[in-house]
Amino acid sequence: MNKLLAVIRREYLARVRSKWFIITTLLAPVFLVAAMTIPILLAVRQAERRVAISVVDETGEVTPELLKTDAFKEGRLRFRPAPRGDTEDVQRALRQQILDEGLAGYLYIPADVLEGGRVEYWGRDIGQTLVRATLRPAVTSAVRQLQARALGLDPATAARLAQPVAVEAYRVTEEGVAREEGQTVITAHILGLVIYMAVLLYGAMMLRAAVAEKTSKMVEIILSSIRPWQLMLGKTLGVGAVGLTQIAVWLGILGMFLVYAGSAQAFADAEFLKNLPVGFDTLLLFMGLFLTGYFLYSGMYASVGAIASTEQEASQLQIPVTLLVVVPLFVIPVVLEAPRSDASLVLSWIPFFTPILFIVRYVLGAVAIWEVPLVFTLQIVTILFVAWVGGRIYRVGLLMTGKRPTLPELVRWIRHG
Amino acid sequence: MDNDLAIQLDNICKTYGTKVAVEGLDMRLPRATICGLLGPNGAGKTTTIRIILDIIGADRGRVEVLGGPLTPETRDRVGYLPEERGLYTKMKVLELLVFLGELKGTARRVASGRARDWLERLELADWADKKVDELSRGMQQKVQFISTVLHEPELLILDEPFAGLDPLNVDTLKEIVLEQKRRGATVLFSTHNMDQAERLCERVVMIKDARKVLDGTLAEVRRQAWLEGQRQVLLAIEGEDGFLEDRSLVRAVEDRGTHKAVSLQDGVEPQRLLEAAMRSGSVVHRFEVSEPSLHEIFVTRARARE
Repeated sequence: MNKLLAVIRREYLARVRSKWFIITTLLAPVFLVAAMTIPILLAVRQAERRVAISVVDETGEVTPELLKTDAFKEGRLRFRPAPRGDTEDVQRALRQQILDEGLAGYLYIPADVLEGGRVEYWGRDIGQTLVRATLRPAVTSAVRQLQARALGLDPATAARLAQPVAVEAYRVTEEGVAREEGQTVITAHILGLVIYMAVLLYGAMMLRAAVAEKTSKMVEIILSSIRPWQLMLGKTLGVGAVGLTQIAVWLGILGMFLVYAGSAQAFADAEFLKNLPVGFDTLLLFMGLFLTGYFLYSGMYASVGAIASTEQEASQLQIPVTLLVVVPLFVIPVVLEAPRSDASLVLSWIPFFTPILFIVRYVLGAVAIWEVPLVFTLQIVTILFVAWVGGRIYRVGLLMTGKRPTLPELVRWIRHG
Repeated sequence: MDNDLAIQLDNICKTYGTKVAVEGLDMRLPRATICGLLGPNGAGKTTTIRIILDIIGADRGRVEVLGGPLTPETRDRVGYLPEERGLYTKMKVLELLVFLGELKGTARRVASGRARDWLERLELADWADKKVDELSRGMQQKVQFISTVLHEPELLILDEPFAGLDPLNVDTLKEIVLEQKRRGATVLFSTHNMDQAERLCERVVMIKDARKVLDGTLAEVRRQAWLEGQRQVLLAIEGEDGFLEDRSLVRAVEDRGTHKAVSLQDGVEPQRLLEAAMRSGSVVHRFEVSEPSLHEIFVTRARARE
């Protein structure tokens, strides 16, 4: 027991004391905050920038209405008069202007737009926000005004007709009803991603830890004192403790950030944070799945490390294991779209995918309570199996250097190890 | 179970695929002795050592260490210096020694105190808080050596302990090995250096092609070789010594300063060397037929065909 503690302590201190650990632990939150705020800042700047567009209007009536819309009045769009002449020639000239960088784009409004003709936007950058949030409402509003006037309606009625009908979503759960503004989906996605990153990060750490005795030629000295399983278990727990330490530091920094931000009025008012669907139960499940995911994958990474003789070789050999972690990453969108579908259910039960996909389904409220013990039983059984196989590979692999074993040899190690 | 034995091997066999590493090896090593494990490269020495330490399992046979099978408790009473040895390069010297001591069941504080004493003695005290990769190879080797004696083991197994050390350090470590023996420890060490083995060992075991070919005290082994007709001539002459180049007579000459130790070709009587010396007209100061040196015995055994 003391020996196991000695191994755990060594593995833990060797990592926690390294410069890299200190740097990544402190810098990761900085990157995270940057990753969260930079897109928002960019979007704000984008919104503030005026987009100069021209209009080629075959009706001659739409343009004046268009200029009355919010987009132009608020200055998000700036009107640049188009040259007169044949529409084909004008469009060709405008396209040249676009290429010459003077003009962002132009709208082509066909003569039959009031009867359902399609409006076109030609531009260099076709941002979805521009088209959906700015151009479409503006054109719709202008066209509705003209249609209303043709029907003899007043402008106020026309404005109402142009408004899309709001559809609000409410999520019905056992705890009650909550307004849904997408935060549940985002939270589910983020928690899934965090487990993905943690498994990958600490799996890679375990991989290097498993080759350490080989690269330092300490294998025999260590094995004359303790059994391979003690070494492997000690390493797994030591590296796991490193992971927990790092996560604790990050949560601490996040907590301080939230307390600080909470005092700022902007955040205090944010509906988003108030309705964050992360309860104590979610955190508990998250920690549980982080741990099982870590043990599951660290066992596999340790086996890979034991087969390799050098770190370079190990990083080649780990690819199949890493693919197994990456698959659920690509499945997350499917689960987000339909967390209750049979496919989502079955995928989230597959032990290698469970740590990432199950938390996603849970946050979305798609998990039946009886699934939790089932899934954890599957996790533990799989971990024991992986540890058993990995332990055998590790035991034989530790003393092997140079030649990499073939697949049949590996099977022999596992059967006779 | 024999409590007077440090190591007892009965009919140990080990094959790797088709290669036989150890074949039917028996060995009995009494306590408080120093035993040399000799043999050409690839003879099976390291495999034997690994089997004794249960780092690999034997295919057949029985292993007893310090009077019983190798339990975790027994393991703590054994110190091992492998041939393939390294250290965690990023660790500080003292911390690493304490860690290795702990792995042998020594309490942290005890291990720390002893490690400091040893570092002091081997002139490494200034390096205690340096990282291992700042040490020279020789220094690292001394640290490795400390780790094998730190827990005061009853059995020391050293695989090529002196390889790569300068003569001063070889002497220091030899002194420690002898001291361990005086303390009551048993030492089994493998070496290619027959002079070292001859000076340190009371017993030798020689393995060749996976089988044991010699086993006994140094005196017994020499006596055995004498009985088998192996001779060495200690010769001191003045003048022409070209006859020593005669390959039909002489197999090898070892210059020992005051005299030469001459090994004769198989079947050549010592008398014929004396005749050759007389014919050459040299003055013979010394002509002594002696038991062969361990080196000589080793070479003869290693060259012998089955």
